[in-house]
Amino acid sequence: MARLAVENLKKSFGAVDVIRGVSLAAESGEFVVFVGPSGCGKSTLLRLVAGLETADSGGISIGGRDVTTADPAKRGIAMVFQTYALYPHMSVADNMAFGLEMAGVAKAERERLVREAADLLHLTDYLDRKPRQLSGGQRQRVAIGRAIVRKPDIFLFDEPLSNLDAELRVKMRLEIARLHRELGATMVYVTHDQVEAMTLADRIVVLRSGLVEQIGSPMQLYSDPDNSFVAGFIGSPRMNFVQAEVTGLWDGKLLLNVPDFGLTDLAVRPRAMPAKRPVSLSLGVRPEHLAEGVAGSHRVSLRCNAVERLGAVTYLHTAPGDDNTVTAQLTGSSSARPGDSVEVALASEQCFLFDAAGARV
Amino acid sequence: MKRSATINALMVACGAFFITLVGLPFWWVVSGSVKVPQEIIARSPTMFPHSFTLQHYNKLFDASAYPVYLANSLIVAVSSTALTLALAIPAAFAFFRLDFPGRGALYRTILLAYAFPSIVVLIPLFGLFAKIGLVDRLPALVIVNAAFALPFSIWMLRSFFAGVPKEIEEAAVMDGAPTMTILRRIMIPLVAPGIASVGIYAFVSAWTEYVFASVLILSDAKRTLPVGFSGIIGQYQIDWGLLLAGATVAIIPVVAIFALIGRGFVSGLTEGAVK
Repeated sequence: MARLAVENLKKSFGAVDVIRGVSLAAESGEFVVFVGPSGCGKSTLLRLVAGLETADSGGISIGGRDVTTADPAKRGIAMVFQTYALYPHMSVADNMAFGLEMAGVAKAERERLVREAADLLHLTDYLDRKPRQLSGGQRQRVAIGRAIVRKPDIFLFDEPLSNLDAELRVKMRLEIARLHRELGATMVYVTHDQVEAMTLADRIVVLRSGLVEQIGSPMQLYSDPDNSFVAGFIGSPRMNFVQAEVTGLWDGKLLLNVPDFGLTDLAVRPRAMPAKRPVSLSLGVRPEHLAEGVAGSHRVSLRCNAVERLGAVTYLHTAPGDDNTVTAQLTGSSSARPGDSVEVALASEQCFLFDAAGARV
Repeated sequence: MKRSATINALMVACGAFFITLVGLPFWWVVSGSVKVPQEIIARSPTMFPHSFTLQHYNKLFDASAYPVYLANSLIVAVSSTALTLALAIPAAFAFFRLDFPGRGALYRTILLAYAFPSIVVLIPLFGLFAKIGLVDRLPALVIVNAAFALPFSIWMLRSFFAGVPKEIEEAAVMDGAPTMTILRRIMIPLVAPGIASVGIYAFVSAWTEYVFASVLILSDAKRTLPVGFSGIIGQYQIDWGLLLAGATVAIIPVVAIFALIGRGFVSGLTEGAVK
């Protein structure tokens, strides 16, 4: 395991700036997840760390060693690809041993290391099989095994679970978490799935358009987002944003009129009181904090236009498909139907405020 | 998907027509080679041999230079195929993988060379080979055959290389494999169907090449089958039985190579690699 540090990294493809000055660090043994929408540059950032792309400027160091221009194989990293990228003509054992062979490890030692990794990944019975004879989950385990045998300082995962079905994804997610605990290695993981990010990460790096939006622990991002992008991206279903007019100040809080919720003088504490009182703001509230059957300081009546029943909970949507739709979390046994008016509770201390540019207020 | 009976019947009829079109001459040659001479030249031709004889084959192998031509042709075709593959595989990989100045222009130039009719370069090549002492030697044919097979082979192999998912190569890079090891251990096994196709193409073109073989080879003992065999036919009379037996034997290596490396045509070789 080793510390990964990225300093003001920049990369463009032609006229397109994909990475526009990213700095971050993954501490030794830490599980860091890069998350963001498609095209945000997260995969490119990982490929830069891997050495599969060359940075235009900036630096990358692993374990204190500058590897910005080092060969991928000399960086002490191993990568697991989204598409597994197994060698189809080689057996599972050969797939896992290939990197060791290239590193000049003796045959007996290679076999021992492969067997060790296969045990860890429950692949022992499949060592003689070809990749095409394996299921998707097994293939991905082989790809992980190929990374493990090399005992890298840092593991890189590029959306490793996105080709698997939902059930297998949950299983593999737990397995990767277990591997991280057992190996204690530094892991950098790219995903667009915020559930994977929340469940696996020690720290999440939220990226947008080639820039870091926020870095923090999953709960930090969830409960204290820096801007509306992070607030909307972390948490599922996504946070509701509604327009609010600022009417006054009271006890360190801003008083707001929220027409969409039919609320007046809703008192919300800003992160830091702005020097100049804003006229209008965007009020962010998560569906689970706009909920039925929980305590809340305010009652909000919502028009139900669509209902999603998930069993344990039910989600109400006021304008499904619309960007301004409001989603509220109802109880699993809720009898709400489209057309109904449903009353939910809103806790003002769970509300966030954002300015017109999306920055947290 | 269910097809109607009419379409099925139509497709069977179409298939039968083309099989007959391609297969009938072959059948005619093979079946004719075992007929007695009288039956071959009989006024009403027989579809199925009424007689059976191996006299044409005996004559072919015992009383003609056919075995020499056959051996020459095999040497030339196998060597041409080997040379073509030995040059086309690294060249195609270089055009696909390496980024060097003038890559696009050079690639197009190679394809342009393919557009030249062989007859245009025949005389200059003869002069060139005469200067370096290659006239009337089999290596001259090997060089010419490989040179003419290369543009298409490179073009075809390059697209096979391009069909290998990028991640597999990147995984090998991450595993620390040098470029030539990636080519040898990863890429070549994965483009085996392409190599098989190119091999068959190079073999068949060398096997059937006539123009250069007739000009660059002067002595009878060095002739290849197409040229040597045309001499067997005779200027004033045609020994049909000998001709048909010779043609039948000439087909065998081509059929054999299809059977042997045609297996490489199997698709789905990269199955299980990605996804």
